[in-house]
Amino acid sequence: MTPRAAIYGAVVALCVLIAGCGSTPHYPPPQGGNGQILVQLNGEPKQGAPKAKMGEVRDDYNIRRESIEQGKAFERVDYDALEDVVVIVSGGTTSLVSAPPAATELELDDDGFNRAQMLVVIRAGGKSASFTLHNQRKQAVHVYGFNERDGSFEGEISAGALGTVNVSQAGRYDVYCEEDDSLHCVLFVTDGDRAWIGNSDADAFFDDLPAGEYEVRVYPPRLPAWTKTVEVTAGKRETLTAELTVNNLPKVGE
Amino acid sequence: MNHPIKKLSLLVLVLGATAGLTAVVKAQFGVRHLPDPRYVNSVEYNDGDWKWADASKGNVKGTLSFSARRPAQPVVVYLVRLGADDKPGEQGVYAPPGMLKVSQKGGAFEPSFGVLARKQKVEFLNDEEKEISHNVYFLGDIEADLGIFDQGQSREHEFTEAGEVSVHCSIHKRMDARFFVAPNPAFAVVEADSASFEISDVPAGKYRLHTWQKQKRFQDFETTVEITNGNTATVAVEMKR
Repeated sequence: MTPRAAIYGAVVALCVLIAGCGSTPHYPPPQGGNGQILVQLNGEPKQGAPKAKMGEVRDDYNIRRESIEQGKAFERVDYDALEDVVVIVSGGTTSLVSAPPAATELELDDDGFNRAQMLVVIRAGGKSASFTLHNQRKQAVHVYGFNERDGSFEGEISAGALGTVNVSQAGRYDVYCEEDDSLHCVLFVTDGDRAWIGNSDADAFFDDLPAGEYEVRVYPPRLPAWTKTVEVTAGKRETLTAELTVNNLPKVGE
Repeated sequence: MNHPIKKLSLLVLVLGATAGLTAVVKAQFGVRHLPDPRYVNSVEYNDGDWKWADASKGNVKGTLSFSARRPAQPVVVYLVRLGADDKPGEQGVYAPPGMLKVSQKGGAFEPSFGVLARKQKVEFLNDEEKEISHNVYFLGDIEADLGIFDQGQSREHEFTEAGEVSVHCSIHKRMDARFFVAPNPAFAVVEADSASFEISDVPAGKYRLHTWQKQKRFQDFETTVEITNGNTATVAVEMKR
């Protein structure tokens, strides 16, 4: 091999390596006769959403420009860092072993709940799952939740106290607070599915899946759910990109 | 140009462009979620050709009881007219209630909760005092995007189908509201400080009475009720966990 050919080869290898680093995270390859699902979360900004206008603010000594959108009411959506995205994978030919929950504590302070969504898992053979609610307000609160499969909970949590909430039915619960009707958190409870919760700048990786057909459901807070059916085969990884956006909603009256 | 370094630079440039193009192609032809362009989760009702204005009418009234502590939230009681097979039938032709006007001033929907009759219109008005843009999109049983509109502009939307709708702004994360769209004008909103309701001037016929809760804490109740001309049917609504 000539030196020139060696240089070309090295450059090509470097480019391939860089391209690979940029698009594919490092996950272990499938083992044995099972497969994998990798769900990449793509939070897209709303098409055409304008930036906040800037206004001049005059101090005694200078003039600066600030957003005219001041205050909590105008806090802007940031699709690049969506928090508490829930991904649930169900199906396959055998019952899946549930993954450990990633988020089991909900905090309540004067700004509200610290999470828009939570996930807890009823482990195989278990009868219930639980999460804790830390009431950091100065008053006691009554918290309640309900789902369609006859699952419900309610309880009073004293000011500053930590309460444990048990849930025995899988499904989606809407969690509310009697003293403040603006509060709302969605609790996902799974009992036989693989599930993941995290931010949209991460990937949801599901390993060791028996071959078969799976349904992947992605629930971003305050955005449309995303679903996809995928066939998992032995020794392969299925990579999906879930678009978390309002851009695909039917447009009406624009 | 024959210098090896220049050739190397050219090769890097070409490879870089190829990688960029590959990324664009992947983005365009990768897995995409394309929602059904109709209101997939909503309940579709037929109007038929009979008119509410011409129908003989009766009333329905009742009380609500709760098996556990009731939250300080409204409950909606609504009627679905049944057909000969006891399934939802023709709901009739009626004049929908007037347009609901929703302000967006101060980065908040006002009112932030509303109960509508199918075919009722809602106007979303960007009445901000400053040059602030807003968007309106719906999630839930009815999903749609009304677009982005600037200060002083508004958008109207007619809810032609029934269901539960959460309303959001894609620009501001704390702008939320909720609507419930009833299948017809035969509904009552039972406020938190009340446990009784009356729905008047309902065309005679067989109906299924349902409840809907703004913040759900009980199983929704439903029962069949027969409304006859000039009479008032009575229903005991039991909200259980």
